[in-house]
Amino acid sequence: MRNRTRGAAVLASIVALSAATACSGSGGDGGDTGAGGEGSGADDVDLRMTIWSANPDHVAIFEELGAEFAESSPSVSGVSVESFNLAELNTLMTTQIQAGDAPDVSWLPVESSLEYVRAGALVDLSETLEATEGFDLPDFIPSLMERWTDGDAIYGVPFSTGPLVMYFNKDLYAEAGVKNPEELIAEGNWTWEAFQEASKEVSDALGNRGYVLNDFDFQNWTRLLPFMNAYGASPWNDDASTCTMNSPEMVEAMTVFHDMTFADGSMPVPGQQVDFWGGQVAATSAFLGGSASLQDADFEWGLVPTPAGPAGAVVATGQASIVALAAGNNTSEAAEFVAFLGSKDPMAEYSGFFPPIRESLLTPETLSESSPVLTPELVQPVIDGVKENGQVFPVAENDAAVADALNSALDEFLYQPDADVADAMDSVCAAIDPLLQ
Amino acid sequence: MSLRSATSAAVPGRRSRAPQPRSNSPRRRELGRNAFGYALLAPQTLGFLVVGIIAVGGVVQLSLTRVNVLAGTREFVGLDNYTRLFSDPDMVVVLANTFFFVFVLSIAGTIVALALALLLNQQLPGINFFRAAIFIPALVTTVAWVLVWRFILQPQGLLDSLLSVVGIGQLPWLRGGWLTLGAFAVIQLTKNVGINMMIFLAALQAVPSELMDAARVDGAGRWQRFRNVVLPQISPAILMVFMLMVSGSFRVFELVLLITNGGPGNQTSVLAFEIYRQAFRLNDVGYAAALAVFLFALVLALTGIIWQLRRKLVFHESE
Amino acid sequence: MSQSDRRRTVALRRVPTYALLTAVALLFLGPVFWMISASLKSINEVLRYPPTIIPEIFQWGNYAQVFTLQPFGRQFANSVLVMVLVVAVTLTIAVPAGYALARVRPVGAAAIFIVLLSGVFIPPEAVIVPLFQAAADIGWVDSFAPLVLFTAVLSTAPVAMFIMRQAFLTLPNEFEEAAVLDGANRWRTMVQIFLPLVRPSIASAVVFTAWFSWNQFLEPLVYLRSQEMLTVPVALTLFEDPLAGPRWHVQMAATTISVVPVLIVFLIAQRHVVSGLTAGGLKS
Repeated sequence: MRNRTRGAAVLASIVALSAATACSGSGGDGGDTGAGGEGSGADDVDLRMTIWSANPDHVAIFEELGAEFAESSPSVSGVSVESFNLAELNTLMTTQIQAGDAPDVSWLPVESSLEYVRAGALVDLSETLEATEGFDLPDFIPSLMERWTDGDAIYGVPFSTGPLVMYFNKDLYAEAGVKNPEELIAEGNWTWEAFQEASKEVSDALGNRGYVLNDFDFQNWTRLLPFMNAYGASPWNDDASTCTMNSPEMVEAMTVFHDMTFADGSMPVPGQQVDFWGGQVAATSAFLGGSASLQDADFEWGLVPTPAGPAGAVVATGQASIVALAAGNNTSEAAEFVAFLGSKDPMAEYSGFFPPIRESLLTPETLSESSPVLTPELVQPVIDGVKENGQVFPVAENDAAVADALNSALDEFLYQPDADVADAMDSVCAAIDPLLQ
Repeated sequence: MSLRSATSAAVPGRRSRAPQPRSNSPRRRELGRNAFGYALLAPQTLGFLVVGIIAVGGVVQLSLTRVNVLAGTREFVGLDNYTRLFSDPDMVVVLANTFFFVFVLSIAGTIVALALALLLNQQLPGINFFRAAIFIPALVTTVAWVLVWRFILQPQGLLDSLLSVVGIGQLPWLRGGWLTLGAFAVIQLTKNVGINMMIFLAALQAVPSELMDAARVDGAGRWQRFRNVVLPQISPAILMVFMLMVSGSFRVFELVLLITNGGPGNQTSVLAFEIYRQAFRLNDVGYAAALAVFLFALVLALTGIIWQLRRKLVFHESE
Repeated sequence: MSQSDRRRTVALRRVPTYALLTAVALLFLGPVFWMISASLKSINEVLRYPPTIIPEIFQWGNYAQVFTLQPFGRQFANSVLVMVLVVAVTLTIAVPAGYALARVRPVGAAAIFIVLLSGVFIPPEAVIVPLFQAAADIGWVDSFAPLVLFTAVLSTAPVAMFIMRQAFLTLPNEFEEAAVLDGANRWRTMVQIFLPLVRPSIASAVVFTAWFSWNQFLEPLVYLRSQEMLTVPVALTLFEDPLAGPRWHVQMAATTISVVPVLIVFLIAQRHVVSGLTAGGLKS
């Protein structure tokens, strides 16, 4: 009995002690984050950079570049790189900005660009970029910079501009005796119509699905952009003030998608789990980086641009930039760091992983260098497509709310087996119009 | 040793509030009892008050403001967020969904947990293996659990093919309506039922064996023993599990987030998911806070009602 | 009836019980088995439908990748440390509180109970903003302090207190009377007489608390920053390539590993549950 009481006392003191050390241990680390020393000039600024990759190679590159920058900067003593999952971007930004503890520098997806810019959440980098020797702004393809500029102001340096491309399974096409995308391209017949036909034939012959949109799950409207772009359709007009989801072009594009899904049976229906990378589906559209999943594929595969349509061959590209947050505590150092990371030599360090829009770096060699499966020959057409017809995802001012409403309305009205596409698209517009200006 | 004699000497079933003292005056005794009670309660109560006030106070304060997180502005708007809440047509659907889900999950969850605990409350070789089997899903992340269930519930998936054997056609399990909310309840239940089963197991183990022996001597059958001895003895645990299930079910949102995103439309959205969606997807922190205060009040009221009813239902609470 | 005959009938009577137990266990273990199998597949095989039951080639390398892609060993240790601290703090404050509410019942006990319990009604995603603000003000960012203290006080201690209250409530009053007759003081009554009797419920409280802490996602996500400080659930979401998407195979391997600690806690706790009241203690 006495033993037990003593045990309890010991336990209690361990608790007290460890709680105390846990607290004091943090005091050192966390102390400077709240203090907000406004770049006092001395070599004592610690910058925080957040990225949505925990890949050790990526983290190491940015940590090394951070160290290099700190060494050359008179006021920055170090840069810490923190990883998170892109799905948590909003959660983290919301809590951190509100608590006055925002990161100084971050990756930001293009979807958030306009929203952050209009709210004044990003630092205008134009002067810093101008003043940074050798930054060479004209080296960036101007048409692919648009989402991050507003007049003369520049709010982000795009570091990763990944096109949606089409991967296909040569074995399945051969097995079904259907012309595969490469053969269709050779015939000069690479359109959604021809692809729809081919996909249906594959599905009919094999019982497999002919096509799946990667990372779509009927929750992610941007994956429909290859359809939309090819038909010259956009979800809203140029200044994102009116919904154009019910335009004739859009109805045409969505009819192809709806038919492939519900009439032809060549695309999975909502909820159905199919996977291209495992060899079950004949083709998929995915980001270029998706090729990493093909490392151990036990089938022959090919890589082509997505099909063309009445509006020609448009390459839908996602994008992410490096930005400096206005809510950070060291905005001028942060802007300098962004300029450093966007300069040619530092960017060359990571452009093998993240497709750049710096023309001098946008070469087949760069894009295939860090990939175990891509070759310069495979990516050359993709690069040409991006340079000539690249179109970055359209964004709206309060994109989070618009995208949420758009996804939910498409799910409710369009992703239904017996939907009338034109009516459905009218309902979709009714749902998102109030959210556009 | 004296304990044993005292126990046998005491009249079984007599329940007195506080034992009468021998020497001290009743009043001093009462004071001492209170002081002792407060001393035991102090650490948790003080800790809870500090953190609870920061948390709840912060949320109430937020709920009275309109926050633009990105622009860093916060303006006082009075009860606007609450007015919006009560005039939001979507809330009708969301609340109906929430109550349906909570109703199904809390009742089914309590019954299944109890049934499993009774099944596993046997002294059999290897019983711990079976207990662990029920418990393990609680340790798997929701993401992994959902991934498996999506395979099971997908069109022409495992469940559909099983059901087609008995002649039931394909059902749109995850395409909205009560069916999907019911599926959510099953997915959540199978994942975490092990926790409640374990609480019931502990309660069952604490049923004094002499009571069971006495009932057996009296010729009570299995069901009668359960009904008249076990059930009253574990009723405090049942009440607790049910209350925790009710409050816990109100907070489930990860499933919704991962499986349907509340859609199609808002057909499968629940209140907790709306809070998450408003706060972390739409950046409308003020409205999310108002929803949270509403949810808190709702759960408090509901569990308060259950708590008030307990004296009628729970054996040991009747004093 | 001979001894061996009786043994045989007992064994025979157990067959349906075991059949039922096995069926139920399979139902629950099926998905877990899928997870383990997926943890040994290549990324291409994981999402294949219909799924392969046994991996084509056992990819033991997935488990190695868990540790090379992230400092998972460190993160695992973090989770264990946080779990142990949360359990310790929770028990230290909740067991006395539960006892006070069930057996001592000072004036206002009912009201205090409701106030303490209301912690479990608070949706964590709603209060994370003010709580993180407080943590940042104190300088607790990227430390375990808010994770341990806020969680224990707000989430686990209320439930543990409830479990303990209900357990103490079930015990017959005769014990207390006996203790008073013995002249034991209040502390000794609690620690020496009542505490040993509620061991099964203490075990449940420990398992519940350990489980809750181990599975926490939103709080560590917000409070912790550096990879070396992260806990397992947050680390699991980082087995994802920014370009190629989730590395399901590695994630499943890490998830499989992450099941182990709380399972051990559970199994240890089960021993205490079985050797509780019925096995000894109060045979009169």
